[in-house]
Amino acid sequence: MTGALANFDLGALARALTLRAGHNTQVVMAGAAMLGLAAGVVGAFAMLRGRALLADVVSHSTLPGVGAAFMVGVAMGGEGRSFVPLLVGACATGLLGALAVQGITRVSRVRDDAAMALVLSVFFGAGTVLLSVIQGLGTGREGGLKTFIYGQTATMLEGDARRLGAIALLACAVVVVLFKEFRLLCFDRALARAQGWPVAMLDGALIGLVVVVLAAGLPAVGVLLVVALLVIPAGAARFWSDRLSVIVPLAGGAGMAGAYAGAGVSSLAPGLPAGAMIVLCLGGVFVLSALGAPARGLGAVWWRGTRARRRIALDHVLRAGSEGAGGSAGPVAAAAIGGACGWSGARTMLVLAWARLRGLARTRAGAVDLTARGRSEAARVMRNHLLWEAYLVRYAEMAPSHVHFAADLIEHVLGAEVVRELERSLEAEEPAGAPAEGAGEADAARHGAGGTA
Amino acid sequence: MDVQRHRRAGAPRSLDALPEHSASSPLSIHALTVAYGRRPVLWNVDYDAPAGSLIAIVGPNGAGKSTLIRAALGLLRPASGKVEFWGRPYGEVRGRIGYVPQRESVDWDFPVSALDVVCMGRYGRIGWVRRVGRAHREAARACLSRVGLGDLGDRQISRLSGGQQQRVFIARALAQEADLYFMDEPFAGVDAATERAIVDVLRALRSEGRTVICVHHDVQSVREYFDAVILLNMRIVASGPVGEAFTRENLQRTYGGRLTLLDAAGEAMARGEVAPRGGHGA
Amino acid sequence: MSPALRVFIEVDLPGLLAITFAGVACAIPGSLLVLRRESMTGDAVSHAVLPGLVGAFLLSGSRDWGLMLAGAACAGVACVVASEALRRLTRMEAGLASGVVFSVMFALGVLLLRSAEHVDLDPDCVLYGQVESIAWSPARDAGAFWTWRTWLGDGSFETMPRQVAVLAGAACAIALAVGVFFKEIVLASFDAGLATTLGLRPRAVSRGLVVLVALAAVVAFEAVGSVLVIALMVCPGATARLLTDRAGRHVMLSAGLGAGMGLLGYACGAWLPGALGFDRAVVVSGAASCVGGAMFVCALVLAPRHGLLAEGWRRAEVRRLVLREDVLGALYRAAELGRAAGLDAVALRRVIGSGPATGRALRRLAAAGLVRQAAGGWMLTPAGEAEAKGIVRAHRLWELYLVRELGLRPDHVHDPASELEHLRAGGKRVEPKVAGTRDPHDRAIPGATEEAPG
Repeated sequence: MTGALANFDLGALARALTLRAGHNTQVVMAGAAMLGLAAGVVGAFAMLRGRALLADVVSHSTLPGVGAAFMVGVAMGGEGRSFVPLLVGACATGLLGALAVQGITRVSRVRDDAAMALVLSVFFGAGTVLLSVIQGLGTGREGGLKTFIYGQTATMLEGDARRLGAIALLACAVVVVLFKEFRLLCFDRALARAQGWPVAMLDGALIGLVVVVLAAGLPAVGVLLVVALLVIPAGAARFWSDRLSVIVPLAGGAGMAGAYAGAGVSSLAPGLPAGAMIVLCLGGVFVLSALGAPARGLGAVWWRGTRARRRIALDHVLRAGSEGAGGSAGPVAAAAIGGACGWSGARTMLVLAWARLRGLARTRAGAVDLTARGRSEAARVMRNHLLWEAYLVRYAEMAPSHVHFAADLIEHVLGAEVVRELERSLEAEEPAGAPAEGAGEADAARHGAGGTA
Repeated sequence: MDVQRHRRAGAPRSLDALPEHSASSPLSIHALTVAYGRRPVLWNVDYDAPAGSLIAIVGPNGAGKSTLIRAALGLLRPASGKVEFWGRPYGEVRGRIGYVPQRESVDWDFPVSALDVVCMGRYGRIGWVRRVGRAHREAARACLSRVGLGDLGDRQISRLSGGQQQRVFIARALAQEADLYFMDEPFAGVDAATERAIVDVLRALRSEGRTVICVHHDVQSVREYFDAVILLNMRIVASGPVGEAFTRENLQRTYGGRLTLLDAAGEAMARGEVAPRGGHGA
Repeated sequence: MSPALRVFIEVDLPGLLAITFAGVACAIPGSLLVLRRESMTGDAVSHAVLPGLVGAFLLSGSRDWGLMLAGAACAGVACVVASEALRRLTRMEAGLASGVVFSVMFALGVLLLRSAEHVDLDPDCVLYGQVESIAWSPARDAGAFWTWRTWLGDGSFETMPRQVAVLAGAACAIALAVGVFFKEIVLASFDAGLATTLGLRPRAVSRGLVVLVALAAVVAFEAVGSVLVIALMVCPGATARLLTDRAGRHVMLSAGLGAGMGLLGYACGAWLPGALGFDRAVVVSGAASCVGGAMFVCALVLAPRHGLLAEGWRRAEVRRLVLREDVLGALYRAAELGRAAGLDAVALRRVIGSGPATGRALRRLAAAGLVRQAAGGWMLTPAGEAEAKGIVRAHRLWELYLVRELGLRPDHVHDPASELEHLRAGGKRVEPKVAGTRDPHDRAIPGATEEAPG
């Protein structure tokens, strides 16, 4: 750690990030940002199509293509290390790798996970063999080829950045044009096929985009890490929304920001590997999203889960309190409530403490007694359950995905209209459904319900 | 009114009623609520299984039938509630409880033979690290014969038909020699011969005084195969002996007002007939 | 000792042993990963060990290999645990979660590797390993418990290098652990639900397996590099998947294939280029990966039961059988319709719709004495007629069955019956249980009554 990281300078970082650090850095950062944009947009679709790991296979499979293109270039008397032939070679073997995975899973009993790992390692192994052969040739021009493995942005020229920009533009254009088709492909292949879309061709187009973007990212980020450009922004964007039209631009933005910042940071010191810095910046974006995103972030999920469990627990306490001791709303032993619900002693204490805090119950000498507010709350809970029951009976086929017993108010889920209808149906059913026995309790519950409704 | 309804459904609500019935019942569930994320899928389920009977759990798709079994077996953590077997927690009586998961829940390409799968039922008895001995192997082979697959023991499981695979699972349950079985859709997608073989096994288990609780999808055969029924749709609609609980009204309250698909079966049941079994093979 | 042998022992033996043991150590847990459909875990772990390796080195400031291995193993396990947690807590797709975690960890490793100036860890070693440079070490460099003197003892090579000893130990430990807990591993992989209800703790078993994977990845990573680690884990397991149907045999076969892959890979990398006249060897780990791929392709094509050739042969066999029966049936029907002169090959082809194969089928039938060539074309011999009768009988019984029992329309039953008529069980033709003398098209069912074909 004593090396490059030691002379870290916030001022320099700020200059770099605001494009004031010299022409070369500007070029590199702009190129990286374009790459991040393209990868994010394409990666979002690849993720939703379940192709995140296939992207990893493709990225590793590009290496033999790079080696072969270099050898062909040298053999034809060229310089070898020029952008377009290497890109073409990388795309060719990358695509071949993806096809090999599909072929193996189709003709044999080997599952896709094993097929992917196998193709990945074999293609990459073949690539390393080619690279070692190239080194053996001693052409003197093979030095730059090594950067394809770990990536290097420092050598990026204006032309390279322009090409990356063009690829980003191409990726965005394809995605915009085929947005509807890709969406169908990702969410419902069967439907897409039934509607007569050329599913295989669309799939091919998506894989093609993935391959091109990965190949374009090779020189900057390297074979080993370029897949991160695809998967991390997409994964991060997924935390923020469930809507594809939001996820795709968000992923593009996240990729752009991460790559931009990563390139900026790595420009600060010569020793900092650009690919790794870009991936780490993207990782930072991912961690922030995973923790803090309101839609599906860990914090939000945890908080909602906790609240729901508390809600359920309180409902149990309220019901136990209001109907516990043989129907008369007298005090109930705390231990009895906890025992009935399978709670540990500590959990029971916690739940009761929460009920006290909310002013719903009093505890006296190990017995729980509902307050006036607790009783009216209990009546609300009972009414909710009554209505849910009615809803389940009326709409049983579609109900299970809608019913939410622990919702605060049934109206929040179903809307006032449906609830009024349910209430009417309950009242209509009343005379037939309730013989004399136990009618008093039911009346009490219903009157309570009327009080809060 | 809801209190009334629950009483009729046979699920006691009052806390006072809790302790008296649990010790003898092979399975007693109290106030079980299970939530996926924040949405409960099972709400406040109370149930006591009668010993030595065949019990069907019936309900529409997504009603939480499998969830009920999985929560009872501790494969899911419930949000609240208590499950006891013969009045004791699951961990103490593990060896007396058998489980048959849905057939689709495992990878049938896995390289094991039918006999290997049946032997797995004995692993609880064998314990960690020790090999499967000859006695256990013989016991497993006997179980395989009981479901009519005695000569297919060495066949790789992917080369069995769907019905045979299901029978292997039943044989594995037999090998567990449990007193209480949970079976998740044992009749789903099996041929007539397998269905008969499974029914024979279930009846044999009952005659030995064991209890079997099945998730069952075919309303028409409930009356023929089972003694007791649990009608479930997120909460228990009704439960009890088939003759009492499996009424047209309760079915309607489980499957909803528009019971078109079940009407024919319902009428047959109302007349007290057994509904005719479909298919040419029966 | 011949000079060649001496060169072999001096130069090649340590690397050869190392890569062979690495093959065994990786292939055993890798084969289990293949069975559990978690092969990409191997990929993730082999990437994720890097930050642990370098981190331990940076923190301790020494090249104490034990510490580095421990750090790397921890990183590998952490990667799997983190991606599993991510998947469980956020319902993220498994591949995506592991892709994110391992690429970030690998990036961290690369950063650490580059930013520590005095690290004499070569980034190339991370990829390719150093099989070629594993060599006999002088006695004084070695630790205590693997200082066995060599049998030559003339001072030029002294003790087995540490990597070989570590790999051998790891391979044994992994084989032992898998052997002891094999029953539990199989159950937890096949049916985790049952394992839980039996109290056999599938979560603990899969955690243990991840530890083994990490251990194998780490010890092999140091010797053969990350590329070969993935290849050694997956190629033997995937190949064995095509060769056997038993879990125990699968694991043992994988171990053998892993060792073989290492040996052959070393030969291809270190010796083959020389033998072919190149003056430089190629990187051994890459060559071994290629060997693994070749192994898999061979199995894919040649495997006795699941190979493409075997499958193609079986399919061709069925096609030949079906064609043979179709020809017999067609000749029988022709005779029935009163064409006593028989059918010529052209007419037959028109009926059956299969080209030159029909001619071959006819020749085979003639050789078997079931048909004979008459003036007007091909005819059944008495033996052929007996067999053809059975085929046509089955066909018409099936038609009757489909109409009567399944309620199909008479004009819809010919095609399904044409397939069902070929059904055999235990060497005998299957006939549906249906009674009748005439099929839905009002043609006689042969053998049902005494009436002979017209």
